[in-house]
Order: sequence, then structure tokens, then C-alpha cells
Amino acid sequence: MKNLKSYLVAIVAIVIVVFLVPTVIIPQFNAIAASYRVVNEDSKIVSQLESKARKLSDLANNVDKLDANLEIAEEALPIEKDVARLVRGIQQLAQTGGLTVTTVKIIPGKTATASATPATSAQTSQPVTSAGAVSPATNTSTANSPKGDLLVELGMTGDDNNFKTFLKALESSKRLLVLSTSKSSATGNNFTYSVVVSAPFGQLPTISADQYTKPLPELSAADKKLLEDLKSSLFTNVTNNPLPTGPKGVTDPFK
Amino acid sequence: MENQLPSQPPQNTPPPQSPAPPPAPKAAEPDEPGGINLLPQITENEIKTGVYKRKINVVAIAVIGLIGVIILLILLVRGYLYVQSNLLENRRKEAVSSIQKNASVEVKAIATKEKLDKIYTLLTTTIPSSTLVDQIDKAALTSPTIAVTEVDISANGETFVGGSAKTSDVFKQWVGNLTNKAANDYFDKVNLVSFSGNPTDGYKFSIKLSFLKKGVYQQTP
Repeated sequence: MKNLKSYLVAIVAIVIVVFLVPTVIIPQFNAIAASYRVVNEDSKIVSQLESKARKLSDLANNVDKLDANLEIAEEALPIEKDVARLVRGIQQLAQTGGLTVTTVKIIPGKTATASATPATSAQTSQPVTSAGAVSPATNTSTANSPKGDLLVELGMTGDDNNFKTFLKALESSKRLLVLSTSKSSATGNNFTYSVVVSAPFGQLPTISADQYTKPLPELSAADKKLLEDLKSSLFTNVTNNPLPTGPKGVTDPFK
Repeated sequence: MENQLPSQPPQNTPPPQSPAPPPAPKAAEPDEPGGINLLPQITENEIKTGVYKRKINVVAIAVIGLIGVIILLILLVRGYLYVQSNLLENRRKEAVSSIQKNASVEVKAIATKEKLDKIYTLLTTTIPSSTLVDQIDKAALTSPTIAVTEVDISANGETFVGGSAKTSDVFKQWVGNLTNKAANDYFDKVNLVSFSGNPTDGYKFSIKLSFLKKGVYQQTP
């Protein structure tokens, strides 16, 4: 008993070392290491968030410039399907190139939600009147239409040079127009063309619930150059022509 | 060291009797009956044991102290991390609040970027159809008696060209024009799909080819 008392401190030390170190101290080291990692990661995330917040504040101070850029991009790839203005623009491109437009078919593609029936039977195909108006239509499959694109099928006559002028005008259109297919056949010097022009539309921006954690997209040098070029005379706006208005002050505007 | 005198002849006389030394005090003899031992009864072992005990106690106290210091450090570090975590949480809330305040600006920025990306992709992957028609015309013009009557272009650049040639030599030249070194920059996989006719009425043909050029827009530095 006396011996036990004289070794009390040593025994306490051993007990502390044996029990406290593995049960309290070592787990604390692990917990501290984990907390340190969390704080480190949080620190990086917070730095990114602060950087994003600063950039957004800068952008908010120059919101006019941002709006102008968006407007330029919107002209090239609009969200809104302004079909009438678009079809009229494409027709005018053909006519300005010297081609005679004989038919216009509109293939609207998917116009509603996925549950809605694709407009496979809702197309309009109309003989073009002398005034360039379009009348209702035949059915064409939209199977080849890229999702969301509006397809306009044009029947045209003219010569090869007129057709090349039309194609060049399509390629330099500020509102993006892509030649989807083209068929041409010749009788002597007169060519008949059947062209499908695809007009892609922009989608709504992809915003997720945790968008604030995602980095702010920045315009690269290539993006800025593209914006400059879209503003320049390299691209021509073909869809900003005013639509002809109907007669006013009449009982039946279709007469 | 023992000093010895120079050697002397041995004597037969008995050695002088030295007075008897006083009896040395006896070492502790605890079992000796009837004796009183006033000296501490500490053996060498007990002295060593005492030293060891002291050393063990010192080490034990040092260990306990060290553990205490470690626990104190743990508490300090945990406190520091807690404070840091709170500060970060406050900074995060401020940043998120600022971002959410400018959410509309962010939407515009995303929309602009996504649109520009799509525009660039479309402009740089679209077949330059005017160049394609131009090149077919060039190939045909160098063979004047070739008549191209059909040109079907698809979005991926695959093209069917149909026409007629007065003679087989003209047709040969036309095919040569589509497959020569200069044309290799534009056309690939030039395949004859059909060929019919006779020397009197001429020949009809259809050719399938791939147009190599892509993009209607190129950025100049």
C-alpha cells in the first residue's frame, strides 16, 4: 500500500497516457485536421465567392455595356421566334440576290414542351404571292430539324450567280441562318432550287439552384472579337425590316 | 600500498603484540536482540529506490504537464479554428448576399456567354456553301462542255453532283479537276455514283464528294 502511494503520480501519468491519449487527444488531432481542411476549403470557396461578387459588382456598374453585348448576341441568336420577320428576311435575301421565290414552307420544329406534339403536321406551305405573302401549307417531317430550330424551305428559280449571291448573304447574315440542305436542278440556264434554311434559336440561360457557387462566365478575347465582328459590316441584319402593315380603318382587313 | 623493509634475516622471536584495536562499531544488525541502533537503517537499495521514485515522479509530472500543455494547445487551436470558421461564414454570407443582389446581372452575363459560344460554334462549323458551289463551278468551267445539272448539298458537306459530259475525255478532265492537288484542299472522297451514256449522245454522271472546308467565319487577329 505504501509503495502504491509513492507511485501514485506515476500511476496517474500512466493512466492519463493510456486512456486520455488514445481516447481524447488523438481523436482531437484528427478532428483538428478535419476542421483545418474544412476551414481551408471554406476559405477557398469564400475567396471565389468574394471574387465573383467583386466581378459582378463591376459588371453591375457597367450594365449598359453588358446589355449592349447581350443585345448583339440576341440579334444573332434570339430566344423569341419572330417567325414572320424571319421568313420575310430570308425571302428578301433571295429576292435581293436575284432569285425568284416560288414557295415557302415553314417547319416550326418543337414549339412547346416535350409533352406537346411536335409540329410535324402543323407546318405551313404556301405559294408566294407577288407581294411576298405566304399561304398555308403541306406537311413535312421535322425529324431532321435540330431541336428548337426553325426550318424554312424555299423554292426558288434563278441562275447560278444569283444562287451564290444568296448563299453568301445567308452566310453573312447577322441573324444566324444555316443552310441545312440544298437541291438544285437545271434546265438550260435556268436553275430550280429547293433550299432548307435552319434558323437556330437561343435557349434560356442555364441557371441552377446553386448558381451562386459557380464561377461567373467571362468573355474571352475571341468572344470580344466576335462581338465586334457581329457589330461590324461583316454581318448584315436581314430580319430588322419592318413588316408591311395591313389596311387600317376597314371592316375586313383581309379584303 | 604495502611498504616493506629491506630483507632482514628471519628472527625467531615472536612478533611484538600490538595493542588490540577497539571493537569496530557493528553495522546495523536489527535482529540483534537487546541492541539499540541509532543509525538510520537505510540500505543502498533503499537509497537507489528513493532516487528512482523521485525520477519516476518527475517524469510522471512532466508527462502530465506535457499532456496538459497538449490539451491546452488543442483547445487553443480548436478555438482559433472556430473563430476562423465563424469569420468565413460571415464573409460567405456577405459574398452570397452581394451575388444574389446582382443575380440579374449574372443571368445576363451567362446568357451573353452561352449565346456567343453557340454563335461561334455555328459560325465555325457551318459548311461554307457559297465556296462549295464556287469550287464546283470552277471545276466545271475548266471543262467547258460539262453541264452540271444537279447539286445537292447537305449540312455535313456531303454533296451529290449530277451532270452530263459530251465526251469521255471531258468527263476525265472534270474528274481530274475535282481530284487534283488544288482541289484536294476542298474535296475529299470523290466517288463516282453512276455513269452512263455513249459516245454519240454523251455521258451522264453523278458524283458524291465531301467538302472539307468548314466555317463561314474566321477571326482575324
